[in-house]
Amino acid sequence: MKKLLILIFIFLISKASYSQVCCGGGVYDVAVLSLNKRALFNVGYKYDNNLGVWDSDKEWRKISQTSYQMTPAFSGAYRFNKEFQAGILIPLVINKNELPGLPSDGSGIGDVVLSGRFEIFHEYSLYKDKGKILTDKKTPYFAVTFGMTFPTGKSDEEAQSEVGISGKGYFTTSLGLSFIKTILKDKIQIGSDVNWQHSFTKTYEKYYGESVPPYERRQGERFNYSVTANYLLNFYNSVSFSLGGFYQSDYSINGTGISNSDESAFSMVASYTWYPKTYVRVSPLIKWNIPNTGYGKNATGTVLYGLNLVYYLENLEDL
Amino acid sequence: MRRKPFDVVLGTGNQMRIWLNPVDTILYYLTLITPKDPVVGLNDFKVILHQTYDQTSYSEVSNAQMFIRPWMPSHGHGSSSNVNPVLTSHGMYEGKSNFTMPGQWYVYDSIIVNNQTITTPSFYLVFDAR
Ligand SMILES: [Cu+2]
Repeated sequence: MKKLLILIFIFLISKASYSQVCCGGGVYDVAVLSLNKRALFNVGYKYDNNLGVWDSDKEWRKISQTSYQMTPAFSGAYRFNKEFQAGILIPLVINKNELPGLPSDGSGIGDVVLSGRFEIFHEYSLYKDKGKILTDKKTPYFAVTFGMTFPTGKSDEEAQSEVGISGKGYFTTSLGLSFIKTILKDKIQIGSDVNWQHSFTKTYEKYYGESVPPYERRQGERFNYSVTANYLLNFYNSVSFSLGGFYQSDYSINGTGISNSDESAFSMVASYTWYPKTYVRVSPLIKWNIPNTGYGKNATGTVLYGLNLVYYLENLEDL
Repeated sequence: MRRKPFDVVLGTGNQMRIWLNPVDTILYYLTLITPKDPVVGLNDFKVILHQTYDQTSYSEVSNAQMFIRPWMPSHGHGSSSNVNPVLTSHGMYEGKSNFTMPGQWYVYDSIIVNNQTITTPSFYLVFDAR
């Protein structure tokens, strides 16, 4: 199935908040297995530099002091059959802060993510018509995606200061849809991902390690979206560009919604991928927010540089 | 008790809270000295506490305990590394408040005088960190 050099790789862009409790922080992406791949191992690295925040009036507030986050991560994915693949992401979170008088370093294991996808349609699948084997050139790739984030990192309940935060401290689940359509075979693909992320209530009995009267906090419902265009330069190189963002409803404390605490942000991702072999992928990426008033609300704006090294196990037998 | 007059000048950043404690029917005045221009990071947090029985003569309160808690209402989080204000001179209390990001912050201040909490749980000062 060498025709399947389609090299599907879209990113399941999910956001996790680490360095600032409220707002989007680290980003990871989990590579997706195309039909001719059995498994992947990914070593990734992210460097996320905080530029400022949008306030509740959507006004951009630049910060001059540097705070940043580095996230080396290991991820893997396995294809069980033609319809189902699952993955895991294990990040390590390293925070730096240059504000005078405050702790400047912290690190820890981040929140572990399990994800999966049921693939309902694949592109270019074969079918029989009146005894002839034909290729379906119309149907797009379509999958239902789901995931769960486990609070394995250290949250603001246990951490001693902001730089010690490596996780959210609560479970989240996600459910979404993923489409890919080839516009020009072996040249141009477009794709889209949408997902709904639900967070579970966290009860705080401590805050930064100090006892407090217990209270419950829950993040709002979050809706993530992205549209990606992928251009294959040749068999060894491709570039992609994606626009994405999220909207999150008001968070609540002790069951009461806090008005005007909804969040949103908009971002762009550009990436390049080099395939020295069919089973190796090297992909640097840059993700940035537009640091201007009106492009976000109650969220941090960052510029992120990333690098992913992926090793694939290819399918030895047809699925 | 020391009694002396003081000037009250209200400009941008000046904040004063006046409230009646129903238990002892004393009127309390909390005046913010710093931060007037709060920044992202650690800020010196300095206030003066006065009391009056008759709104004619005022005295400094020098036996109070203060517990501050910064909170970012629109993001639903607070901050670490704050230092509760302690008495440094007559009626003056100094501590540190940490504003971890730009935007509006509340600093809740719980004040205890003579083993009695004289503030309500919703007593706070408002800051816009830049
Ligand atoms: Cu915040």
